[in-house]
Amino acid sequence: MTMPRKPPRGAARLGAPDDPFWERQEARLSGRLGQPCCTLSGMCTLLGRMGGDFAVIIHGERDCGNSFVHHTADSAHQFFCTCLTEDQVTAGRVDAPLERCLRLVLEELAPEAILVLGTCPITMIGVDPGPVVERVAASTETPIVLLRTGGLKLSTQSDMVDWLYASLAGLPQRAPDPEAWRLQVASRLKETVAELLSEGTLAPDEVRADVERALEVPPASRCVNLIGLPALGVRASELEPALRSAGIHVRGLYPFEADLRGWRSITHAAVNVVADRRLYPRLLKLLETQHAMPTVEVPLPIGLGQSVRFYRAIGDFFDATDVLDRALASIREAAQAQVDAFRARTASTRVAMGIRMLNNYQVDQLAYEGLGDVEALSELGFHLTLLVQGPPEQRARFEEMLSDLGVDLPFYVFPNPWNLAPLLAEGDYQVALLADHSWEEAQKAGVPMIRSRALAPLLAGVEPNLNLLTELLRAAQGEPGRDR
Amino acid sequence: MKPPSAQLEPFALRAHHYGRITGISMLVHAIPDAFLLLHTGVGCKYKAAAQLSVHDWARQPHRREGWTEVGDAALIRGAAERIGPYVRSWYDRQKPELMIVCSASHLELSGEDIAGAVRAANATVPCPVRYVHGLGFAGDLYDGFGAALSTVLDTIPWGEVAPEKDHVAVVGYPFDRYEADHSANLHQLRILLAELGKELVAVLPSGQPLARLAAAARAESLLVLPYAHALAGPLATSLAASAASGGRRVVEVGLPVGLRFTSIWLDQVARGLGVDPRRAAKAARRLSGYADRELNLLRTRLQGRRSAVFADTPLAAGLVDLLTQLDLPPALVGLRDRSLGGAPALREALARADVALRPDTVVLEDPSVRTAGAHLRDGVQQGRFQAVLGSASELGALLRGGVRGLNTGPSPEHRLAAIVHGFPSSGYHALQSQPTYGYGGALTVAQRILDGLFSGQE
Repeated sequence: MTMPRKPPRGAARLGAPDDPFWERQEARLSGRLGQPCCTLSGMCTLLGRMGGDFAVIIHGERDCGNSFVHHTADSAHQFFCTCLTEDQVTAGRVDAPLERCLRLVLEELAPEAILVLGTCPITMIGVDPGPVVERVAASTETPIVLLRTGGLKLSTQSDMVDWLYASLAGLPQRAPDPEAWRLQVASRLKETVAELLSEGTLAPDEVRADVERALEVPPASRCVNLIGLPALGVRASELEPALRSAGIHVRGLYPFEADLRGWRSITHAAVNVVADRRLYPRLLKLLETQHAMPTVEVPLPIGLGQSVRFYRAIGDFFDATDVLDRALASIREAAQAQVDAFRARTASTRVAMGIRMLNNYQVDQLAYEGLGDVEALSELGFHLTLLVQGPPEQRARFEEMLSDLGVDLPFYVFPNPWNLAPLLAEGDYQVALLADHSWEEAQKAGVPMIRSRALAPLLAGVEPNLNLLTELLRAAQGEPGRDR
Repeated sequence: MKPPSAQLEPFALRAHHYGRITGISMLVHAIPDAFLLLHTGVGCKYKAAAQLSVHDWARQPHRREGWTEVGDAALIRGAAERIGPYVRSWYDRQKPELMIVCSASHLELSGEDIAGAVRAANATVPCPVRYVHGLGFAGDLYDGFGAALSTVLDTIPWGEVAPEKDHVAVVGYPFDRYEADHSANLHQLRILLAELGKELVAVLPSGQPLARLAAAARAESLLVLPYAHALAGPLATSLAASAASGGRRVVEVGLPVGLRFTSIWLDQVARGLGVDPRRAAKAARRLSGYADRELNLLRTRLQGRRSAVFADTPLAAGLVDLLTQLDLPPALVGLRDRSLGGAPALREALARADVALRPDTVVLEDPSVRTAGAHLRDGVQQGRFQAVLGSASELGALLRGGVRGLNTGPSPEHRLAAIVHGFPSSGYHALQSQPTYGYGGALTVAQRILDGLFSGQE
């Protein structure tokens, strides 16, 4: 065989003749800042982390079951795959394995619900699993939901999470989730114990009264669902005691704490408090129209200003603004003093914030197009620059997207995370908020880094966030050999 | 939780549910100047670097991976035409020395000439560009790893470099992260070969750039590990066909894991390379004697205990040998591969080493997460074993089952040593030399078991 003649090393840009291809290609860039995703991968990832008695059936080839990181998935043992062979797919004989798998899962495991997920090979051959699913569903009371997922139709992460959560909330609703109630009781009892230990002034009758109140089931009219808040730090914050002082109770934190039963009792609350309602069009339409639940939109409660607005929105809905204000006064004032002092010390610090770098389906990352931390950083007086991962030739398009979101910050567009080090070094940033996989690039550039969305939420998060930033700024100043 | 019935088991997610694409990605990750272009759906990206990213703390695998961004519209227009522009674009950005283009099942089903598109792209960039299919209907990680490795073997200049006496290369080493467990294994291979008067000039792959791997051409002998046994025949044929390749020997060997299997390995290598087997036997006696004395400190304290081990078949054989020698015989063995022989190969290998599984030992082939988890939890709760060696998948299935008192038992008799090894190891990382191979590896694994069982009991 004659070896092809190849261009020499060191040749000029070899891809130059492809410019027309790239111009056509980039027209597919979606109107959102998130990275494209496979709905199968995304849903498997999120369902793998979710608790509850459900089963997932991936209808496709065996390796489709490998399109999510399963070894860290708590519910991996509830996943099944029809493991279609090449012969079955090419001949279109794919219904029988699905029916057999569905019936075996129902018979042996009797889960509370089954989700059947589609794959690229099924999309490719144009077979509709709907009739099989309907046939099996007709023979059981277990809800079976078919989601025609796959990677061929490039979806946004936002669309995928909304589709999944709307599907879960759309399952037949049940009585409130005992797990959510247990968490609530535990939280109240912890508060009583903390008060006993710290003050030591509670009389036995007061302890008894506290415990009795803790065991009361609050009416749905005083319950709130919190949707899209960060995964960590909410329960440990001032949130629940503050709301309780106004007679408001947290029914559930969605999606991070919600298991299957949590989704199947989401309607047992007065209101859905949502960080970025644009993320959940299907879910909110379902809750608003079919269950007459109103929505209150809030900012991602990171930093002082956003946390204050978060509470104000809830207070306004329940007509409890004054009570909440009083309950929060001391912690809010302390946070304000801390922010003022920090701002005086660190004015004009140059901070880089990476966006569009992750495909991890976390709603707090996706909220407000990944810009949920911007205000928290801006209120500290930082000079913030956005680093947007994407095709640099589409800069104008990103500018338009940011402008639509009311963001007027300097920004750079970089094609992949491995171009970050020079960009970080050139920008002379003192701190960077980046996706967790960027530590190597940040280290190369000598820029101390915080993982995206590592800032703690709510007023209780203000002090630890400032401490973290203070440490990083110290590191930036003291880092030997940093090329500045 | 019960294990699923025999009817449901084939549908359940496997404990080691990795296919060819993961193996191809693993091979590319092991060569720092190679690049993987995924001509796949967007979700297939999760089969590649994402699976390795938590396993390797030392080097991010994503940095050497791209995707042709195929969606439905591209597929309708013809997706193979995308390969050329993406190959050239990534070449311009990263200047790799080797590019591997990997496809997925649904794109293969489209009937497009993907191999042809890769050949055409190959002519437009200076480095070799090779095609490896990523069909996901069957096959496993080791199939993909082997297929991608064969493209690397094709780049070695066998005909341009004369083989040198006593120089040896090892083919098919499962290098999956740039951490000190692997550098330690490579060191063990080097010292074992030195005992036979041989110099190890290259290990494919071993975290070395392609130019360093080309040193394999200087080897007069190629030792092929089990992960590449399928390549040994074609390699020998191809080398034999080339007069310029100078009559290199290709020798299939096992894994030097566990005391007996390491001694067997030395013997296999000696015989295959024409070294007097008495020399291997002498080295084995000396080195295993030393290791055995050290292991005896632990052995005398393990009486009555048993173990569970999950590994691919060749590695499982070595670990069963070691655990048996430690008087910690396995009560449960899980084989994670689908292409390396399974239970028959395990029993055959053990018979060669004169190691026997106890009659009550359960052997699971390619178990599901559900089955692995159920067997592990039952075994721990019923006290059938006190040490478990497995990857994060199997140990995760055990730990997520909520076994109470794990590693917090009131006395050493109630302790469980949960030893993470192999891929994926999300929580176990090696900052310093921690081999599994060779006599040194036997001591290291034993040390980890000792720590797991007895540390904290002071």
